[in-house]
Amino acid sequence: MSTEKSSIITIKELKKTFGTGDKANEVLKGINLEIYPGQIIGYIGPNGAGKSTTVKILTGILTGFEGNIKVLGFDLKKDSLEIKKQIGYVPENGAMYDLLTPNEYLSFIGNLYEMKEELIKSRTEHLLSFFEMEKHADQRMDTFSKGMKQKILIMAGIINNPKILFLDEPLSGLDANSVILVKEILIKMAKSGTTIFYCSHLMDIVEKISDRIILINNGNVIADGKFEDLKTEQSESLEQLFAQLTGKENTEENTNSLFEVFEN
Amino acid sequence: MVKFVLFIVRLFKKPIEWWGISFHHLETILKTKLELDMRRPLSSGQATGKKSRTIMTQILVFGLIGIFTGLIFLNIDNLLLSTTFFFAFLFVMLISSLISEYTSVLFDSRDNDILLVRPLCSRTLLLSRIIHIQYYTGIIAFSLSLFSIIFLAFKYGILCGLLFLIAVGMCNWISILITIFFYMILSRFVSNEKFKDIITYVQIFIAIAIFGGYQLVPRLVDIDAINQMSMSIEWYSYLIPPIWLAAIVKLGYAGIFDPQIYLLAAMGLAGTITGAVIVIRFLSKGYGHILSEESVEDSAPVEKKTFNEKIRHFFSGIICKTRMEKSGWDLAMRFTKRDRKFKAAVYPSFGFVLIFAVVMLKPDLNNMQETLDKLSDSSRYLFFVFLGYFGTTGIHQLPFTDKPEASWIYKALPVKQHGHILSGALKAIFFKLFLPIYIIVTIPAIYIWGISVLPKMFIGALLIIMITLLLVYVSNKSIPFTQARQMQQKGTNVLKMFLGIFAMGLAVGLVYLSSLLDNVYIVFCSGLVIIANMLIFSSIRKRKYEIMI
Repeated sequence: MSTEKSSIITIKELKKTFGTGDKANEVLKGINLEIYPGQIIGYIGPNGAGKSTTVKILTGILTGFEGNIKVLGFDLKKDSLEIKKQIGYVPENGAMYDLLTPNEYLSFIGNLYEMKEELIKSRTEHLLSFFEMEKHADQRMDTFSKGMKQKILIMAGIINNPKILFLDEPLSGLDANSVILVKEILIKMAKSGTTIFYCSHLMDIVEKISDRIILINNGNVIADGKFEDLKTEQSESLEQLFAQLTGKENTEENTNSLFEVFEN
Repeated sequence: MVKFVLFIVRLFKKPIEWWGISFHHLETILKTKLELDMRRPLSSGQATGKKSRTIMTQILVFGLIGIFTGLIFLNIDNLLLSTTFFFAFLFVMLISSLISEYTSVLFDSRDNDILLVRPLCSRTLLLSRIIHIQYYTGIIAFSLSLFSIIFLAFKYGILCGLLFLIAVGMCNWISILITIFFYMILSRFVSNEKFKDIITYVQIFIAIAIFGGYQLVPRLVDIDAINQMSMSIEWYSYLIPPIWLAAIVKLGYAGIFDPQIYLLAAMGLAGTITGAVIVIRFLSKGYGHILSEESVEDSAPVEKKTFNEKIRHFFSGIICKTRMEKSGWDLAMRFTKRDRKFKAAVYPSFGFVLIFAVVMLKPDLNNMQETLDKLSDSSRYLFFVFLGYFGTTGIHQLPFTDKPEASWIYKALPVKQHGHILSGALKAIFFKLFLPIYIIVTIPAIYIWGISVLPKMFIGALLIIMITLLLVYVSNKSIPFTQARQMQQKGTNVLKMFLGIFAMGLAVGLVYLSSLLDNVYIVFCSGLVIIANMLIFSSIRKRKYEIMI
């Protein structure tokens, strides 16, 4: 069995440029990746490295890229609808129709996946109960806190029981207990074969849950592997490794020089 | 209402599915979107229940315009001709409304993260947006046509009225197809950023054209000539949508069998279906791409300092009194350059200058010299001062922004006198928008009345600045870019407009009074007005301002 056959996501020479002419900005400069079923991928990188762009391309939100991508055996350029049926996505910016209630919103999303009414209902009930949100089930979400909204987004991301789940900063705004719940869900989903593609800046969580870390910088993959294999003598934690590989390890020096400017 | 819309859509289930659209998806999206509209408050703090009242008001206002438009059927006996005129008017109204008001709905990317990631095809997405918009333009079209439908039903029979109603629905449909066709073709040739710029300029052009149309057309149209007009069907008649729709209405009026009318009506039907197939089946892919590109926030171009900006920066150092005022100047300069909605709201008024000039001066194009000679004998230069007033329209848009929540910064920072930000922004608008417009109107004034008119134009400019500042002092209690644009929907607009017209009259009156004086006194008065302006600026700087977040 070849590698391409067994991988669930294959990315070859992925490039994405925004703007044209003088204003062209090449955000992704040729990404190559093979991702396998059941992996939890920690996709990390500094701000503007191209993380969200990659996720938006893989989820079909962003079109018009160079290179070849196969997800679940389908060509992303030709069969994006087939791919979208089997993936889930938890966005970073809290995009949701917050004038709806959780029940209404989750029913709306379920309907877009053409799930049966009974299935939508039972999954909604279970998810709301799991996140201790059942008493808010019929309240409009525009008054919800950021964390409560984030929980609904996570529910909407997994309601269709996706084969691949893409998460872009999923834990922002969540309280400590909810973070634990989400971590448990992700680990359980991965064990049952779901691939998790996880973008975050929270290094400690990425380090704990990911079984493969992909670090991108300036639109290129600069590290890819298990944390144990990637760490060096100088970088015992993922945070240190991140700083080392993205050229920010001399933070103390930089901080000192900044304060010198302020003191003057 | 939602149920009624869904009922109508269900009637077209078969053709919709034939177009390769998931009816289930379409129904789900429409139901949710219309439900959201019903729940969405018109503006912050306003009760949602007022939505239905707003729609009722809209029906009444457009219904009233519809009565005036419907008078065409009283004036013109030829049914084909009168309905052609009516549908031409309806097309213009609907397409201009679509471009100026509903383009933002069509390309709304706020729910990209909700919808684009789900298994929805571009066709479904596009059609759901089209029907969503059609609901609102349908209300406009129906209100505009209500009087005519009833009138035609009485005069030519129920069938004629019914066919007219169907034709109105088709007009609504064809209007949006034409608009989207234009957008999709445009998007194939230009980049996303250019695309948005072009749409803004088209919106500005349409605002000017509508204003010009209302001012100029009634003066140019000769009702008697129209009554005498007969309509012969030529080869090009088959290419004009209003004539197709008029022919459909004509079918309902029992008369002599005319194969041309049948052919035109068939063209209407064929045009509607073919247009839909072209837009939904073939061009919808481009629509998904436009939405997709909108979802990227970091693709905005790098802003480079232009020569004009360097000049403005130089002047800010001279004109602005404090550093805070200079910050207000810089903020206003940048926002007014980059905010497309500001441009769409303000720039049309510069076009109005030209239209007003034509309407008020009534130039005889065949004999321009005579027109100029007549003008130079009169004191109509006052009218040029009045035209210069249009340069200040940007001032009234200063408080508004799409991101009012960003105004927390004014509360969080240790800023004592927020008025400096406002006075700086006011100076920027006077410099960037009023000054060039005023110079443009002053040049022909000097050409017509000679250099002696310059002191009068000068004091005119100073008076306009003074009156605008007084208006700001009276009506504007907020600092720049801190209020939600929706707030403009509230009833203060009428009051501001009234105040503005009064102020314009006052400025012109004062200039007229000054014209009775010798130039020496004009210079002296100008000095007084300059001092008054400086005092008002000072009061604006010192005053307390509301910051709503």
